[in-house]
Amino acid sequence: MTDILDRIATGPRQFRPRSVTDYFALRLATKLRDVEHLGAYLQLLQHHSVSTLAAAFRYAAKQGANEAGTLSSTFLNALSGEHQDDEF
Amino acid sequence: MMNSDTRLAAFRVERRSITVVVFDRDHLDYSQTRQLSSRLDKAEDAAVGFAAWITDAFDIGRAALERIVSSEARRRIELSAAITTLLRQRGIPIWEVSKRDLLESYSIPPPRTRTELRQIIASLWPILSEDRAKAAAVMDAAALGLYVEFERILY
Repeated sequence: MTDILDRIATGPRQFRPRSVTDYFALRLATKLRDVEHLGAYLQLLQHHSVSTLAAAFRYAAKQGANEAGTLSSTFLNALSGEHQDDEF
Repeated sequence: MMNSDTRLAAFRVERRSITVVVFDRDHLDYSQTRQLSSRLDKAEDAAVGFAAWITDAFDIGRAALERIVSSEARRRIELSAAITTLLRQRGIPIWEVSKRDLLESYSIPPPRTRTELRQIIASLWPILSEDRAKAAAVMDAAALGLYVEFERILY
């Protein structure tokens, strides 16, 4: 965890993936138009699989932005809900 | 038994070689480079034969090629076209990716050159840089393949 925080300590203006999952986090944050919170997506990957996050993204992308007005909030709602049954 | 839905072949076409990296989802499974003849007709035959073998041997369900712009070498365009024709004949979906999209996806700020991109890929798969003679093309194909795999699941 400390390593991840260290890597993003310079802010989201600089990030270079060191693993496949790092790269996935960057792609996911970019697709969600939420790169400023890239660190949060890196942390999500410590608790969820790529396939689970991808399934939540696809659900969110179909639903669109929610009442909070952001696709990322729809994604987080999906992740905490029951929309994790897709396979990678 | 392999599931063809999970396997992607990412091709990197150079003037005198063709490189493939096979992915099983986000797992890099296999890589190979084949040198090509200086004669275009022989090079096309060899490239198509190589691509056909790869699609059969690994039960490939989709393929990725980097989009080659017209200002680049005509020979690379023709070799890529021959491979594309083969893949289409076999009903294999093809993802064509621009160099710009590829570079922009890999870091913040994006890599400015392929060399910078390869440095990132080498940190993702250190083993790829062991064979220096083939490393650049293999890393280019790996970058392309991983981009497409994540593009596919984040649609």
